[in-house]
Amino acid sequence: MSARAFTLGLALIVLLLGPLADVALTTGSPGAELQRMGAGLGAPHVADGAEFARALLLTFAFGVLGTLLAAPVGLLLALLWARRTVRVISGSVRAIHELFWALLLMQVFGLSPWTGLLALALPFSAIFAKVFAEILAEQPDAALRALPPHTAPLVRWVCVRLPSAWPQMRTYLLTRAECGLRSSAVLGFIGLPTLGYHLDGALAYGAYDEAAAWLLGLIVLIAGFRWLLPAWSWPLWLLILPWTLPGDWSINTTALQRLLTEALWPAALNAGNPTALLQWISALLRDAILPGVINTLVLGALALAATALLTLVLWPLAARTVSGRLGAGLGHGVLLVLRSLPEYLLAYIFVLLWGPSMLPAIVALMLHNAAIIAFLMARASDQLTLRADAPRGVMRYGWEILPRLFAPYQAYLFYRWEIILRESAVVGLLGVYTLGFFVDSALAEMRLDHLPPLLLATVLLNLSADALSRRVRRLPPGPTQAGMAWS
Amino acid sequence: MLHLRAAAIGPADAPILRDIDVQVTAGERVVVLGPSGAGKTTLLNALYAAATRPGCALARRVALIPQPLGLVDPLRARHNVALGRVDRRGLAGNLRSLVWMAATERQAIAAVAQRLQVDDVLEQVTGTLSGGQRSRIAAARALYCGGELLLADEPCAALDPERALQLMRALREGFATLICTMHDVDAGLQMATRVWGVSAGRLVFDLPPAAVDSARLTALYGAAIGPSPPVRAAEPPPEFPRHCL
Repeated sequence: MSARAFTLGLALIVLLLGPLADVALTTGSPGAELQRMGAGLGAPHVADGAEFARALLLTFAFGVLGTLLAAPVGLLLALLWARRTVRVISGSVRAIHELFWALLLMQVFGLSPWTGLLALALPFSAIFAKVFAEILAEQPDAALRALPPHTAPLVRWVCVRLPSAWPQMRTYLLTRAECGLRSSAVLGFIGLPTLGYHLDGALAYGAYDEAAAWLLGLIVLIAGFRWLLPAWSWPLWLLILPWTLPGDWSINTTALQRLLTEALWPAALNAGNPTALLQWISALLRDAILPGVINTLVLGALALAATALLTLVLWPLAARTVSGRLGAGLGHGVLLVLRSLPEYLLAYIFVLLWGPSMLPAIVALMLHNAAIIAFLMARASDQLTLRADAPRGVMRYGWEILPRLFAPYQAYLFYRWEIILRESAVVGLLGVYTLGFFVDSALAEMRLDHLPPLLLATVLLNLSADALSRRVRRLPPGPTQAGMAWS
Repeated sequence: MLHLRAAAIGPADAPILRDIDVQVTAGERVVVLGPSGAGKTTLLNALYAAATRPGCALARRVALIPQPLGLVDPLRARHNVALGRVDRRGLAGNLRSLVWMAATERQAIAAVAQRLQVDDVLEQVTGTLSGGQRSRIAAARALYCGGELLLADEPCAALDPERALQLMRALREGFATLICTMHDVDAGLQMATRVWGVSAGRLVFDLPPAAVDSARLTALYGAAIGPSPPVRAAEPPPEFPRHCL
């Protein structure tokens, strides 16, 4: 896609969808609240040290265990990646956000450790499967060809394929563990005993100094967890961490059976009444699925456009060739903080300030995603070799860097769009009318039969977004692609 | 005897080699000469495929040193040498060797590495070795694999003349039959019993080394100067932005 088409597309999105979005401020005095919040953030305060440490430990335990359990499953699925069924199932499991999984699993396991672990491990296995399959496929096959002929296939895998892919797989596992820690913290918002649980409480009571301490805890945990996770320690953590998780590990098979055979199915289907079934599905489509899908799409598109704009501002701040060593250091610090705070958490804070509308969701999605893309772009621009007499500062950014890296910038935005959509659906739990809102209502009204169609809509939305973004990326690249440095 | 006969080798729409009909008998040392892009590597790969086909009478076991060397960089050099014999054990034995190598295997590997003067780097991670050390580790893997036939693609590419000589000597001692592409013409003529000249996708001569005079070599390498085949610019593979998932 050419740079011009891309920019026009974004402008069209904002002009056409902007009027559809509800971006009203519904709180009385957001300014005063922001002032109190700022004062609190300036003076972080830990109310109960033991509780603080315990919540950090549990956040670490859920996040790391979920990741470490998912990795081997993902590897196994990656070995079967040639099969279409494996790819479709992985794609569908991945399309459902961790929070939705947790809400669904809560119906079976309650607040037992299984809920948190599976909510992370299920989608993460599917993500690992995709990434590991790609890493394995990228390995050069010279080493395989150099093996003695007639070497058994399994030996080829274990002695050559896996060792060559290992460094990349290890790096990715740590990246995923970082996502795991963020998700683990967020799962606290729906009742698991992780950091989000306490943060939720502190924010709800306006104890912003305590909230600031929890936020700092999360940032420190994410900045430093890699020190605790060298590869040799993974089996040890797998053995130790389950003992730290509170709650009952027993599984209530009656609840599981009831959920699978009764609660998730419409009563009309169980009764064998086709007219009632038709009424059920059309009402559900009209009142929940259609508005949910439309709002999710609108929010996702506006958030994408906002992310694209903010990235252009944040990226040069963190690029050493533009801002200098000191400036880029500061820029990276800001990006690290924004990256560490999950979208859902940011959205939660902005909803407190501005009331539930699309505005807080757009700002939250924009801040988090722009920070991630700006980080990747800053890294790529620092690897460009520029001529010695290239212009400096903003001129260098506009004339040398941006034109060279516009194609990867577009590609990252499209990659990120799938995640933005997934998050757009889930911020509905905070009262924005996206799919998550209707999932939340179905749970509140105990109409669990609404869940499968709503989740199916989420899956289809994500799969089509993925297919669309892959198609757009495959269009012949514009002239900007020449000379771009990816490595 | 190893026999390769093909009207065209390579992609059907743009074959790299044409009209190939060559035979190699046991005990021969064939050196393949020719300018870059002539098709030497393709010829070697085709010969490797023919030699490893069931029923090839020349060799029961064939070793290969491909041009990109085929080393597994994250493994130690010792393990890369051990890869020469992974077909002789099952999965369990190989796993054990990856985790804790038996003393007898260590000794056997050290002996091979000593002949190529790389026994001192065996414990290092292969990715950290220098170019010359890497080519010798790849040669050590081939020697450790053993067999009757070795196919080697530029095995001395990153070596100084002294080390190159030493490596070729070790390979000559290790394998009864040898087919080897080389850029160093003098070294090639010294060790060969037979020389093939490849140019622009064709085998242009097949002679004993004594018959390869400077006129032939000038013709061989000079023929490459002229309209060269269009080179498709390799696009850099986009790094997958895994942070995005």
